[in-house]
Amino acid sequence: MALLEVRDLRVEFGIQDGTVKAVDGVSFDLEPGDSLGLVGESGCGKTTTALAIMGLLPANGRVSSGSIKLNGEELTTLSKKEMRLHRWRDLSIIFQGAMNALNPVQRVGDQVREPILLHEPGVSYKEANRRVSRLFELVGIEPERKKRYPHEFSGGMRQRAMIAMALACNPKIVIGDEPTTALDVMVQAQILELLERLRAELGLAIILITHDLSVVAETCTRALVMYAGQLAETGTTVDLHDRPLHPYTGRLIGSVPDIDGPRDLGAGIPGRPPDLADPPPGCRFNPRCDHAMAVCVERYPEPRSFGAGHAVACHAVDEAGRLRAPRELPVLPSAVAVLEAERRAAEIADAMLAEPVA
Amino acid sequence: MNAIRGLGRSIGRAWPLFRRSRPGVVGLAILAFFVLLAFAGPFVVGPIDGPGKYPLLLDPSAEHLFGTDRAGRDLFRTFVQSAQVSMIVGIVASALSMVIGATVGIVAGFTGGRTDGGLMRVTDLFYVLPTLVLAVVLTAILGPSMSNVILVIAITSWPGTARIIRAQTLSVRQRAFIARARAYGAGNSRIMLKHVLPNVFSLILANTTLTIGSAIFLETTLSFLGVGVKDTWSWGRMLEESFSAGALTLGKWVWFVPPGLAVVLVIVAFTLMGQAFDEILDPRLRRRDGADRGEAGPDGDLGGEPLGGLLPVAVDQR
Amino acid sequence: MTRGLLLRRLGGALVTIVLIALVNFALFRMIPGDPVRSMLPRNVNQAQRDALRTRLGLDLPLLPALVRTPNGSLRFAPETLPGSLARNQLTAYVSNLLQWPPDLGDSFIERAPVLDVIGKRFWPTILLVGVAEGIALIVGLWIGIRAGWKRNSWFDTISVNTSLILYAVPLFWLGMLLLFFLGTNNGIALFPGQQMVTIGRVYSNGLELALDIGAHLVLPAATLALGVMAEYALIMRSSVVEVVSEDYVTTARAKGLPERLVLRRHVVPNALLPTVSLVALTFGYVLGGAIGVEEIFAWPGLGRLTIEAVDQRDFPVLQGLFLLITISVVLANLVAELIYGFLDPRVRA
Repeated sequence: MALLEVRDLRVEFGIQDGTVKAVDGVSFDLEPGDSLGLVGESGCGKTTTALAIMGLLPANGRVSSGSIKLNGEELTTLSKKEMRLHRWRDLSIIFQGAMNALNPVQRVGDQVREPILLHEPGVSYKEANRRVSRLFELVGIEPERKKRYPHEFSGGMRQRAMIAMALACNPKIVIGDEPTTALDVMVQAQILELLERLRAELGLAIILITHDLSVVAETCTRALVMYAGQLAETGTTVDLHDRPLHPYTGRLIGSVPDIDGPRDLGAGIPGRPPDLADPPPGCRFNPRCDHAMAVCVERYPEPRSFGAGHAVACHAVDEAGRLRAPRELPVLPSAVAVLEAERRAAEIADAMLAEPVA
Repeated sequence: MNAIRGLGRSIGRAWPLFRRSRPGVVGLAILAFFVLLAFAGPFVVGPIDGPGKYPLLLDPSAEHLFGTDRAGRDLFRTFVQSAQVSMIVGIVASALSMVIGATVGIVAGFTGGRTDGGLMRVTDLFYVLPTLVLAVVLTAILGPSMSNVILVIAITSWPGTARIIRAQTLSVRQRAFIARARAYGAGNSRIMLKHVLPNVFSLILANTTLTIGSAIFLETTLSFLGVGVKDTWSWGRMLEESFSAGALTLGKWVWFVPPGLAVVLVIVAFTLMGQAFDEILDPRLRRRDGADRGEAGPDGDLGGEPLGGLLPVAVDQR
Repeated sequence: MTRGLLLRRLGGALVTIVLIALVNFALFRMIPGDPVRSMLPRNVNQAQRDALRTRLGLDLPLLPALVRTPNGSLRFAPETLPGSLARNQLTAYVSNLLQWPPDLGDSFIERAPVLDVIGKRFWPTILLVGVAEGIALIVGLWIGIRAGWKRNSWFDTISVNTSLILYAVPLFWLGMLLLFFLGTNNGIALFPGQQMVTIGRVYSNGLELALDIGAHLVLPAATLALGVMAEYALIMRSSVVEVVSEDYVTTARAKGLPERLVLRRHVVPNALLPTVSLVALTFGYVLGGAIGVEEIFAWPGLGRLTIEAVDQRDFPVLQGLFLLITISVVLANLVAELIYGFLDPRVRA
């Protein structure tokens, strides 16, 4: 029995004209000390997956099927109150940016202390304060800064404070939702290092959500690549990096800027993730895929295993793990339109930059 | 010309969206009723009676729907005629106020620098001055009449518009076509008229719906306080007349309930339409596009916000 | 709030007050015709008129080298220089204002200093506006919080729609309805109708007087409170709606806080901030609304005094009222800014 077992998770959002399948059949296990990356472009369902695990889906969202088990206990059927008691004690989350994730009118120390007093009624104020100081030290902030407000912290410090807060009740699992986005590269590296150190020291299990495969490569042992709510590929970070099977994973690696290489932005991925209220049929990546075949429009490819823990959901990958090339399908008009619109937008942006500023 | 073309374009673009907004349609229906009452009604019911035409203080009957007042006038006839005056005051005053507000806003926002600072200083001064108190004092000085009331309402209610239009102008100024027009050698006033105005026009239009409501509100209050319309009849003056004639103690509620209710309905109608415009103009309030649906934030409600950005505007304008 | 910011705010308010004083000066010199003629009975002679003119300082040039003739037109008058540089109506006006207590002139009607006339009517308005504001704030903010928190619930729908309607109701008309249905025998006369006390009644002690005033206060205060409450509810609601979608609220939930604590500790403190300044902005509206309400309920306050001054063309009193009301609105805004600075650590620091 794994610490966290997610099986065939599906999450839907009710919107005015229909439902959005934001997460569609995602499965993974997490053991103590594991670090798992959830990777994909924004809008691919990474954050929704995290919120579903935390039981924090917005009012119009729900887990429509599948299961989330924590130490064998099913979380999706818990009452609000029961779920509330798991939060922070077993599962905590570090939100994106931390700019707005901290209450601007409350002292940072008080915010870190809040869950301690809430979940551990036996702990006195004084004790809790001492613990906050230790947590601050642990993440590398001087404890005197407890009395400061979030706006007096730098971006990196806010992120550290957020991590201190996440560790306040000694959780088993910490989810980092883009914890280093919007930080400069130096600070990013420090934060990732900190997370890695804490994982090793405290035996935490970490789920790291990011759009940046290089972050995952540095920090995680395994990763799950998602596209438009569906699993694209999963495996060790080494596998994904050295032997990416899914065309999308390949593209993601291609879009990672290489710090050591020449300073350009890589190939990028043309087009945008699809509208999840009306996704393309079959494999949702097919309109943007260089290897799409007729079957890709017909049905979603069941994930197939390629060695220990390495699985991919793609019709275009043959038995030997090679990609069939090139694209057989005509490029869809909508994709053409998107590409054209992007090209024009880029042109306009260039033109505006060239123009004298009034 | 430009303005008219802008108007046509804005309406053409907005209508399909407007039609889908229930508050907007309800507001438009209420308004259509009162516009009909105000501008067709007088031809049907005839002019206001001179004093003493009928017996005094009659109760409502089939012949006199609202009864008669203390001078023997038919109150229903007065009510219909008043509708016209209230509407005209509201429309003309807010049109004037729009012209002042839009001019100040565009010039301040576009010119920037000292001009902007000076104009905004004046705007802010008018902005903090309590509208009603200033209006009472001004009408007391100028004397109560329909034209003075229009003037006073226009003078007191433009600052909100000026601030909104200025903000919009500031963002329009950054766009590429302004720089291009400048490169072609267009002068400031030409750019403001040809390029900035059309781009803030839909905002001006949406704002007008709100100011007409508050102009009618202000006219009613001024007339009730005896510093508004004295040379003709408006809903506010009917209320003043009923109050000073003792309708409250006489138990003649038909004298003051209909005009008050009419004012409330008209203002609600404008507020509802303003809401609809707000939804149309503010993309944040519209349903979001599919792309970011998957990653719905903690507040996943994607429906339109009923009040949205409307509120601060409305508050400012009273 | 830093000292610099504090000083800037104070300075800003001071500049506004100076501008208001200048507007006040200019406004009341735009009155068409000869003020002296309209103040005195028709049968007085020119000498008496001139005496009054001198007493009111209206014989002085308006500004340096600018004279206002008795028929109201302006004339460039270089011959008054250099004397009119120091002695003109503006300098007289300013020096009168800068005295303590400020000299606002005499009421045409009561033949008493304007300050005294206003002073007598000051407290009833303070009582009325104070009670109404208090009730409106407490109830309005509560409604707004609840509606914004339980967005799209029946409570929200009802309170938003009620507020939208109340918001469109002229306050004086609301007062007429309340008076008609709750203060006269045409409805149920639950409360005494007009005035501040029962006329001709003799009180044996202060409590009796207080109770009588309290009973008379119910309807006018309720009228004013209802109108303003709607605004406060709408303002607070949209503020709460905005805050609820902030990330730190999700953080609070993620920490396992029960909903009521999420609301009390994280949503409300943040949602109150923008509300403070918006509420201050409505203060002018409240004072304006008090005019109509006092008129309906014959409440002997400043609002009623305004109407009396307008009716009797008692311009010195009107001028004094305008100055008092506008300055108090500016001060209310200043206080709101200071409170905001105190509440928001981002400004305070």
